[in-house]
Amino acid sequence: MARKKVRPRLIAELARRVRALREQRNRPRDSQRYALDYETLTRPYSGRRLPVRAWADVRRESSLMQLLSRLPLFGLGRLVTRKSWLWQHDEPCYWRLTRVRPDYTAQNLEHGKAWGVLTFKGRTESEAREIGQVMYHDWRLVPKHEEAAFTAFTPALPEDAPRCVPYPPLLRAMILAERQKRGDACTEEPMLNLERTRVHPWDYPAKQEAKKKAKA
Amino acid sequence: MAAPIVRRWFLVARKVPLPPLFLAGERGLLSAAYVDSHKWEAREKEHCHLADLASLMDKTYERKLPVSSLTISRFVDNISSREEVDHAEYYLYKFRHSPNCWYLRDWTIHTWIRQCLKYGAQDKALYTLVNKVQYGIFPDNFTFNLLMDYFIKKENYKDALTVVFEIMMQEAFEVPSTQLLSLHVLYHCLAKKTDCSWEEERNFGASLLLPGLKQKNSVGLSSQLYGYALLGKVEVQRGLRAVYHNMPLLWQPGYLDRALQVMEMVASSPDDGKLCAEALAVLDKTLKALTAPAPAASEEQSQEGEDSRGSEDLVEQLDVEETEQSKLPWYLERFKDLHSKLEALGRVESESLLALTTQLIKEQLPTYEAEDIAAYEQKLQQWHLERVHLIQREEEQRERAKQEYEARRAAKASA
Repeated sequence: MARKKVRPRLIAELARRVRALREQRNRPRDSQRYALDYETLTRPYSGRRLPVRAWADVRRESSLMQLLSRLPLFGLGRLVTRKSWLWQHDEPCYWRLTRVRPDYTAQNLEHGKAWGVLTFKGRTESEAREIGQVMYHDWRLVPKHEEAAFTAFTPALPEDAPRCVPYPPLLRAMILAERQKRGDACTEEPMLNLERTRVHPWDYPAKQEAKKKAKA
Repeated sequence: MAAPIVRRWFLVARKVPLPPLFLAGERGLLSAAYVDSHKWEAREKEHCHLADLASLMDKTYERKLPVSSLTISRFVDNISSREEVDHAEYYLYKFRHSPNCWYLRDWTIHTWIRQCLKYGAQDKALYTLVNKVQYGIFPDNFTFNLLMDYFIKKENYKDALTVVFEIMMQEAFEVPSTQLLSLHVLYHCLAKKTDCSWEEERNFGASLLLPGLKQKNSVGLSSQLYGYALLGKVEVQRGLRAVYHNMPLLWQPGYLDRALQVMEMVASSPDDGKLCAEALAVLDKTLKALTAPAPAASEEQSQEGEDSRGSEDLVEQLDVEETEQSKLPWYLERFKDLHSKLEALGRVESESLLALTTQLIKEQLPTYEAEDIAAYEQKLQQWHLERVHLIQREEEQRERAKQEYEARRAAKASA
């Protein structure tokens, strides 16, 4: 079906870009979004009240940036834990901070973002990533003189080396036939990986980058 | 002038070497070489007009652009009077609330404290230190030592105590000279004070504990014991959260237990470590005061503490089978056993803690001071190099910006 040619609407495009730029410039900062009224336990920005299970914690504990604003260099290289991890798991779970970006519009610099290397139940990750749930009032700072005792961990079960085992003969024949059909000239022996698939507990911190991509 | 002469005679009579610094009336613990500011004065600094820098910073803040750490360091370098100290304080506050707040340099903080002390603004220095969240002042050990020594010289032990509490909050007890100075200030204040509020007790406890863990001698062990005793008292009276909230302390219960463990360690170790009778007396008094008037204490607690402790402790102590309250009689028994054991082994020091600390300072401070001064000179060099590097980078950026502007202007003129 012949359609009429669509004229490029330049002014609408320009207006769209201007609106996006203004939204980016006037975006609500962390200090506005996560500001909290401690009397009524509501966030003034969205008007929503915090969930019931958080009420006790908000009164007792502090958020991560509230702890870090009191430290030199915002606590780079220090260890921070969450009270929920302390209550839930026996093994040490903590973040070692590598980068902190506080929100400078906050009065007491008690909002912002932080990055670090996670050690969950004694296993350390290899790379630093963004720390999630930074605004939750759940965080505790590990004192320097207690760091050694806190991080000392001997795994109960010995870590097995990744074991590889040759396939059973029929499967092996099938794999080799598949390879031949594809024209794959690989002569390597097909090996079966016996390593246990690690299932993370429910409170393992999820990757923030993946969450942001899913939202956008 | 009679008092110093009498003091000198006493010291000579006790065959103890004279302290190196000896101004009439004002006596600090650090030597003149340490407190001397000639090297700092002789550093290379750029001479700029404060008014120019101030207007530059104001314009930058208005346009919502970040101010560089070099600008604020130049401002603090060029302070020359008391009013300018107030202006610098304002600009430090503004810098802390700007995007570059993380980049406030060590040398700026050091210069700020030195300038405050030079122009007699020590209360301002203390104010910015206490409100470190708003001003971003986190001095290093050398600067802390200078500040403490200044207050000790003026016999202003209250302010020196505030400085010690700030060092405790920052957990900056790495260097031995800081540890010795702060222990001296703490014991001096404890000797004078009779009653403290629970916050003061908690601060005293933590500030005694942290340097005590680093010192490997009888002063260190006694400080640990004293600190644990005070913290244990606050724990039993106010609950564990009152101890560790906003403090560099662990959230495991049982501070009195740890005090008794220190005693056990001293009793069973083959080294020559001794514990002071003073510290043991404090622990004894604490345990007796907490155990003995049990009904009276629990009545008072149930009235006052109900609001503060109440349901919160129920939640935290769900896993703990016995509360600290119930373990107190057992602690008292253990203490009596260990005390008699220590006396039998001869591990109880009868001199007062303040005297021991002063002796330790006289013996060891000169060596630590020499190390500190060498480290400080190295740091001055490092800071100088960094500053040169930053100035270079700023020049390059300005050149690049100018070239781009020229290129854009040429393109616009030709088009």
